[in-house]
Amino acid sequence: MSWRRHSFILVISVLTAAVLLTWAARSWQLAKVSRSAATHNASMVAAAEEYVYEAFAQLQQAMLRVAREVATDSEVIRALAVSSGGPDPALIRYIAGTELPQRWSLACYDTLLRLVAWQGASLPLVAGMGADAGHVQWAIAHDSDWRKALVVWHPVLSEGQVLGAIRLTQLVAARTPVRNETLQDYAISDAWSRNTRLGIQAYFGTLHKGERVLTSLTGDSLGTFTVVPPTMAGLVDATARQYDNVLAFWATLLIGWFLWGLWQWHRRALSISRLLTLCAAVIFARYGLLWMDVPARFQTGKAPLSPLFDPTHLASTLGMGLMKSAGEMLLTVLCTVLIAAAVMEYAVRSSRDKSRPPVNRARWNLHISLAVLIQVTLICCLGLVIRKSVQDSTLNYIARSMLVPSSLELVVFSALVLAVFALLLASSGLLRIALADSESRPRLSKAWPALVLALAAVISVDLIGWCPWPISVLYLSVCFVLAARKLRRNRLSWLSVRTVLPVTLGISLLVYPLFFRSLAERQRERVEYAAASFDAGYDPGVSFAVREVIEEALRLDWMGGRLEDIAALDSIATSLLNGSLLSSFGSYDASIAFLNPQGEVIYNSGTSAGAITPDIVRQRFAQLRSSSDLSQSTYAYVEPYTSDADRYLYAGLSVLGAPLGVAGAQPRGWILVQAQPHIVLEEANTPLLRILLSYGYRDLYAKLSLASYRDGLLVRSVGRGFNRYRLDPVADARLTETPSVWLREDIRGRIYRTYYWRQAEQVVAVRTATVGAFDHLYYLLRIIAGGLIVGLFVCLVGLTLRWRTGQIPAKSVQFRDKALNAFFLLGIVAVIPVGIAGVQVVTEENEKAVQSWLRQHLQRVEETLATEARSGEHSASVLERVSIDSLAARVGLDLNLYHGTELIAASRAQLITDRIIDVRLPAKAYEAIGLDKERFTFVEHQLGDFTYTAGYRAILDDVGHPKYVLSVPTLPEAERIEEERARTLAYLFGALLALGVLVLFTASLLANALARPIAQLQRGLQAVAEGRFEQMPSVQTRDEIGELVQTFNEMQGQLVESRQQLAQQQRQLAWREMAQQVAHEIKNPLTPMKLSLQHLRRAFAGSGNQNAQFRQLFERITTTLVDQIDSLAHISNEFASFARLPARQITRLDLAPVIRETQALLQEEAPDHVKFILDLVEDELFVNADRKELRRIYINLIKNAIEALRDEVQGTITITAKQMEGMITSIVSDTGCGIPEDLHDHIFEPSFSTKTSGAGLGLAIARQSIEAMGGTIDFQTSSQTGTAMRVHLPIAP
Amino acid sequence: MRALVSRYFLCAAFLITSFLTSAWNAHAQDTLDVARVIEILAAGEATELMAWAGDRVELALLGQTRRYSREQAYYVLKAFFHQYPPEGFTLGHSLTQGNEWWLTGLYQVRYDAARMRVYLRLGGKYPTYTLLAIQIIRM
Repeated sequence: MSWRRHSFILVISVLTAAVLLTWAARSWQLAKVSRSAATHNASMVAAAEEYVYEAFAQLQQAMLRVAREVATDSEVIRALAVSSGGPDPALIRYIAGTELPQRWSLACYDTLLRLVAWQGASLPLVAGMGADAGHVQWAIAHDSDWRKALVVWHPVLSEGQVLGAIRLTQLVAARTPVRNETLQDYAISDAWSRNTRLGIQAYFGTLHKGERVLTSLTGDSLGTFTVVPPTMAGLVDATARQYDNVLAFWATLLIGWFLWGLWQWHRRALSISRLLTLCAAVIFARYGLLWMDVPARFQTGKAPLSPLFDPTHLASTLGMGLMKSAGEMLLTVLCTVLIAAAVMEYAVRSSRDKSRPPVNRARWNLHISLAVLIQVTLICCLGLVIRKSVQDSTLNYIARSMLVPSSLELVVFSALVLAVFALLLASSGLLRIALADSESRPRLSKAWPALVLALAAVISVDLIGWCPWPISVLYLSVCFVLAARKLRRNRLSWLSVRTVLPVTLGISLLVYPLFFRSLAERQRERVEYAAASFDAGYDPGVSFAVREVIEEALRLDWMGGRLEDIAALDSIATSLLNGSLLSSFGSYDASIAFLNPQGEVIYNSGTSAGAITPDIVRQRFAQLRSSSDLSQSTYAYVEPYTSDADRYLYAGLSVLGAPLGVAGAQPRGWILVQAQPHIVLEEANTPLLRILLSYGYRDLYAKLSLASYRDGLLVRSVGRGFNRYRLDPVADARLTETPSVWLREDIRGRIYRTYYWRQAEQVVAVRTATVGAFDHLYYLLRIIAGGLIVGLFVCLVGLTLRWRTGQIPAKSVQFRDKALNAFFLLGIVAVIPVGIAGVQVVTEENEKAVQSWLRQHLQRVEETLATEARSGEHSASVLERVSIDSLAARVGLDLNLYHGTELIAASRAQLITDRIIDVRLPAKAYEAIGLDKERFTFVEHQLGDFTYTAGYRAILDDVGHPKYVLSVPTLPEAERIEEERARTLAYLFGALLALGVLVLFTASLLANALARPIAQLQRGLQAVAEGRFEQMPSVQTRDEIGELVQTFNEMQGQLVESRQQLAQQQRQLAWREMAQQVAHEIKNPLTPMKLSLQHLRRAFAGSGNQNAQFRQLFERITTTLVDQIDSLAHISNEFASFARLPARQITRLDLAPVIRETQALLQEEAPDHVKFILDLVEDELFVNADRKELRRIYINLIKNAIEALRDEVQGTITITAKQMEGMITSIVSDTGCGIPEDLHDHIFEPSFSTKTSGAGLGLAIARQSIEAMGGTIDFQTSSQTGTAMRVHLPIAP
Repeated sequence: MRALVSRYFLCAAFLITSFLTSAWNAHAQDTLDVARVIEILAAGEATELMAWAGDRVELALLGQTRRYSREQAYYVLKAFFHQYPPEGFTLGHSLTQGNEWWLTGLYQVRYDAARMRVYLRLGGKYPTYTLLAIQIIRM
């Protein structure tokens, strides 16, 4: 058993033991808690109380430290010492520049409680806090019920004299008018609750009996708090949950470790069963985690990752919880990637396994078909996952507010990119397995059944509607390409930036079509829902809520004098509204009014004081009283009450005390319940303040235009999309055939999509702008952002793995990689500064645009004031005469007016009431206008997490001093401004992305172009080093590298030639030595043999032997012996002449006579059927040669020709000689059967001969002699025309 | 053939299972039984409650109003019931208004003294109703 196995089992055992021990501890602890719940509760509460005391004391100490630092600063002391009651410039700058934490504010007062300098939000002074007090004071300041703050008042002393005081405040509780993603209520006790995990309620400024008291550092009571102890069942439940968390942790580790072991086990052998086991284990592990609710159980409440597991963002029932939140979706996709990696890993190993027998063609077709079908199914699943991630989600994937998506959207995009990656990996792995089974390389003709099946499957997928067939085909194609690619041995090299970046971009492009299709479907569904809602005309929920309040009121006893008791009516109204459905609509102002039988208002209250005035109540009562038939019921049916086309008011009226219609019954009074859209949202004809929309606001019609037509005429519209007062004829015609229709319409150059829906007698139309190129780019960039996060993570993992395996730093780097990396780095280095600079430029330009916008609008306001001014009247005087509301309505802006440092008027007064706008001029604005004497300035404001800018302009009096300050906030325009900024950034990043891709592509091309000739050169040099002389292919470059390759090729050619010559010389030398030896050894015994034979013949002739038969035999044998000896002598001479290299006697001689002479000599030896033709030119053909040697050459050539014709019936030998191309070319040709092709390379080699006699040295000697003369010899041969030996000799000058 | 099955089919089965849709699909029930609704809310059964929902349903839970798909609403309600486990539910009154039917009631949270008001808005006509919206308000 290996140590790995030991360690695996050991860890499994330890983790299992941990699970069991935790389980035992859980049971023991639960029993203990059940027994001693009261004691346990008390200890928990005591610990929490201790914590609150400690935290509150630390907060005060921190505040005191800052207040003391400011109060003892010499600048502050100096400024207050010389202060004459007015703001001091240096002090204002000092206080405004002091760094403060969030929700803190700082102010400086003189001894007369006059504000000298300030920073942050203003809160009323606390009664009893005297500026002349020479000691530190603590108090709670409150601003009605909106805000409460802990205040420290620190005196500024100089030589024991009080000069003033520093007031530092920290908000401890704040209420917002609405609650949404940006605005939330704040309470310091929430943080205490989070940290103690117990409910803590704190009350500041008031003391409740029986509760714990919060005291200041000086011992003053500032408030009380209570710690809510858990119930018995809750305590047991909480304890069990804690132990369950620990159990889940151990179990998760156990699962992880087990999977790791399985992965190693799977890799050790190529086995399908191991692969399947691993896949099954991953699936079971995933469902196991889901069952244990891991990791969601660790991320609840305010945990940093809790939004990931919040189903309100994304949740689908797909796969029984595999996508029940964004975080679970990501985990599921990661598991899928693991499975896909296992499949691919198996496929790669399987394709390299040569031991497996191949399958036949039919079965291979079946394999491919199955693999393709599986792929199509996977594509279908991917389409479903993407569709679900859009349909079952409330995430605003197409928000234009910012280019970079929110963290949750990034998680979803990353998960989708990973899902596509897993699909491609798994599909190409399956295909690779199928392709590896073929008995030969796959051919298209073999795979036709698979293709037919694939096509059918793809079309069927399209029918399902989850993935359109062109996209399916695209995915299939990519899978085939990936499957066909050979993977490198070093798979970790795929994890480099150079590979991951283009792959990420490619996958993002694959995700986008499916994603956009689902988005379009969601938009379509929203439009249809908006059409139905618009057709209904009003919100039935609000209508019901009004009715419910009336019904609740009617259940009360109204007899007696209840209607005269204002306090009782106030209590009743409060109880009716609190916790009611009506009060839950954050975007509506609700009110309850009680009226006497004559219709006079007795009492009027509401969720938004002042929004529904008594005058409005009287007016609506009169309208409802006149229009409602109250005789049949005790209350009025609630109907939508409309004053504008897109604004509904809801009102319900009922009698109290006695039903109408009953004879003699007298009503005791009336109740009027009303609901109207929140006034702060739509006021002053300025854009909607979306930042102030509550969660409950139904932003159904956002970015839509709606219209209603009756009899073809426009009767109602919302938005600016419908200008025509008649229904479009095309739509009208289409609606006669179908109840609803979508049309693409071109309206003055802009393209819209309009949904027409015929309902009863009217037609509802909803129009929305089509998605343009910018939108596509914008959405795509958001997906790519998600992909890049995945890519970055993969690169980091790859970097780590390559470093751990010793691949970084690399021992050797290919030139191509080096060049590509250099280009890529260059591109990145170029793109990043451009991006950073671009963002800065866009941000600055955006700020400038905002400032310019504010400046122009404030200028316009002042111009409006000027036009309003009477003769000789100054703008400041006009402001005192004209109301801010009318001025705001005239210029179409929100306006705030300051006098000195105080806000004295605002066009949205509700914003002041709701504490959205502070009543004090910001210190920075005062600094610029009051101290630096600037006419215009702007200041950034923070509203929750939202930042906006406000412009301030001084309005001068008749002597040129700033009397008022007018302010225009960008709050209503914030969404548009942010959208424009996001649009500009989208263009910038789109361009940068395109540039990045271009750089990558160009870098790849350039690196290939540069590296190719160098790689060829390297291969050539390597071949030479290995003794292989291969001609390199020509390089199509005109630079030094091309010349280098060309020179190398020439050098290599020369080297090859020299090497051949050397080899030939060596062979010839060896042959000569051998020939010399052979000639010597043969020739020596031949002479005595021949002499002996001749002596024997003479002796026999003299013996007188008369036996004729014997004589004849003797004569024949000895003659034969003599002939053979002569033949051997002849061979011996030939060898000798080959080896001897006789001294040549070079003379200038005419070739033609030598040829004639040789032909004449051999004419005798030639058989009769051979005919000679001499074709020699008349010109003299002079060459420098040895005559004998030249004649021997032609003897050899002609003898060979005669031999070639020996078996022929009729043959011709033609000998020609003439001047050609500066040489004398002589051809000896025959009409024989030619030389077989396989002998072409050997005919000039010594000892080669096709004849049965001779030494085979003729042509070798001939070539040797010709080359010695500076000539060449070659031949042309064919089986039809015979052989022509061509001798080229230089012309003798 | 056995090798073929073992090699591809099983492999595919695992792959597809990892993606595939053992999706829970709630389907609109034919009739709405008020007594059953009380039982469901008292038990905090999101599955059965969503069986009456349409393709999209509006949930307004403690001030957060959103329109969800039926599948997402199932998990949102499940999380709500997990966070605020029910102790009981008392039906208040029901009202019809136009084509809609409203059911209201009180939801008692376990381990907590808090009570919540529940509103169910249903569309359609008797006896077939579709759940359009659920609103829960802390009292």
